[in-house]
Amino acid sequence: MVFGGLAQGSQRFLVRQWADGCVIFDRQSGNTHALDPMTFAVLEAIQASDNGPASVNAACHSYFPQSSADELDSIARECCERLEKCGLIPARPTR
Amino acid sequence: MTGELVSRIRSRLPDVAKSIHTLYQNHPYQVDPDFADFHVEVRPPRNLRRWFRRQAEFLVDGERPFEPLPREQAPAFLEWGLNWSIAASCHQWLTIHAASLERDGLAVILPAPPGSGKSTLCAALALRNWRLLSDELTLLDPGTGCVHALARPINLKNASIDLIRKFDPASAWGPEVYDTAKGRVTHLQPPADSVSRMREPARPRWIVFPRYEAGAEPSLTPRGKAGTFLHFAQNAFNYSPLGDRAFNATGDLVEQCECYDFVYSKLDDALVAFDRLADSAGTPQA
Repeated sequence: MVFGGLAQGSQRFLVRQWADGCVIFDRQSGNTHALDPMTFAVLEAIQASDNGPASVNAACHSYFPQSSADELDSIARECCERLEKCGLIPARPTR
Repeated sequence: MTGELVSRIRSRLPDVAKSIHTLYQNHPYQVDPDFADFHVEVRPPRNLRRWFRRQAEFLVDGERPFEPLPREQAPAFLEWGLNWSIAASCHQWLTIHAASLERDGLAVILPAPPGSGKSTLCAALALRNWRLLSDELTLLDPGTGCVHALARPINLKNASIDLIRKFDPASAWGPEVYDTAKGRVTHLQPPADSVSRMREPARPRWIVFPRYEAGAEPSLTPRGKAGTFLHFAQNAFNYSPLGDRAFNATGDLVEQCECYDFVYSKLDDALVAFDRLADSAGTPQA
């Protein structure tokens, strides 16, 4: 059983993490979500940083080290969309 | 008395009385107990349907939570109503829609959607070397992590009834009812040993998702814990009301159990597979 860094000191989330992914309980909504390891890493990066894209891309890079910058942007965007859909991060304003 | 719960049951309907006498033959009982968790009654309605296109209604603590059913379904209605009563109010446990059985102090939990063969498999295991905890409602104690027994009659339907009658010709059954939402339905008397030990909880060790598939070779394959957790979260009756406690109890459960998908077509193959699981209990988990 591994608790991600997100769970340490978090008032909002409870987390359990395994090799095939993690589950996260959002106390704010009462909902429980299953996240793949990469999406969870992105959520941790967002929570730990100033929400900058660099930290999000760095989280994705650890899973896809051979990807180009554009590919990482695309992957990061997909992860953020998943997190937004779950209500785990606020929706980002669209241009 | 079923497990740790006491139900005070009233009915003037002779088929309900006969069904209780058969299915709960080995359960301890009292006439007019001092305390009961549920006060239930199965009776004819107090309107024309008492005599015309006769119906039966189920009441718990004086309230009628369901619409009446055809009169001949009264014995089954009692069982379904008790299931609902437990799922709706026993929040000292996390109540999961799954079967559970025990051997050598360790429990296997069988979550599965309707039609997957869960109850048939549960009945076969209970009639052989496994102690029945429950065929429908697995009661998980969030404090201890143990599963508590109900040892109530097992609900079977359609072809499963004939299969288990043939599997164990000496087994005792409640009346068959027809034309229910699930077809032909009846209940199997729980084994006497399961009833005599119904106050003994068990430590969960395996979570197995069974799936009957005609002609399939038996196959037990590991499954991911995150996906298993999510299934429980979606199929526990009181997961939301219990909040943090439910999340932590489910996480501990999934963490301590080996999780599998199991496909089978023959009960004998299933019994062998589960025997192997039980025999492997002494082996350290990966």
